[in-house]
Amino acid sequence: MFAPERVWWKPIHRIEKSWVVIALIWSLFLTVMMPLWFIVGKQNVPVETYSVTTEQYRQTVEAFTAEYQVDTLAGVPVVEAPPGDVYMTAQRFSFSPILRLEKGEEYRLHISSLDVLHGFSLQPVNLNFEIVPGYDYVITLTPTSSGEFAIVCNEYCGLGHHVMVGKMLVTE
Amino acid sequence: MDPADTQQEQPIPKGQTLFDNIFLWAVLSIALSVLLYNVWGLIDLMRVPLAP
Repeated sequence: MFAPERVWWKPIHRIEKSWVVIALIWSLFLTVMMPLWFIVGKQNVPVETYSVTTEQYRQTVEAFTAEYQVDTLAGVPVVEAPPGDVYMTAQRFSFSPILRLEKGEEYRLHISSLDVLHGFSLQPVNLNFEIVPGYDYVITLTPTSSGEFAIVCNEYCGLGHHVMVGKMLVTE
Repeated sequence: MDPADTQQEQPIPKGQTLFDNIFLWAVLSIALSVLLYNVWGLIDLMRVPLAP
């Protein structure tokens, strides 16, 4: 092993300078692309967040379900609400209620957890969000196709995580 | 003249003194990461409004 030279600070080599410039340009490009793609890219969903207790949120969703329930599917209430605010909860190990939305109408989908972190993955559309207890996450969305959509929990939440699948219905 | 003697005469450039200061880098790395991640994160969390 050799000790470094006493004065190792030397004028920068041409190749090192090129390396630093290329890396800097690429970093700046990536930095600009982050907000730019958020504005220009079409897959960025408008989101608001509010602080809420699990008990408050449970009561809000229960009141919403009681007002707009039209059916039950496998023990889960099916709710058909007019365009505007609609509510869902995630709790080990199910999503409730099942929302029946209308294609082309704009909804403010509220989602929160009553226990632990869950994921919300709308399939096959592949919209993905994190569901956090203590925070009401409001997603503004307009269904563009009708049918049955699966909601998969994609954040490990316990032993039943792998069977935590919900449903969303969109009518014409 | 022996190259080793020339090295001994040269003053240490300021850039080298800065880069060789390992404790400065240790403090900077912790301070910057705490500010940019923890402090910024806490400020973001405190700014979340209560549900209407």
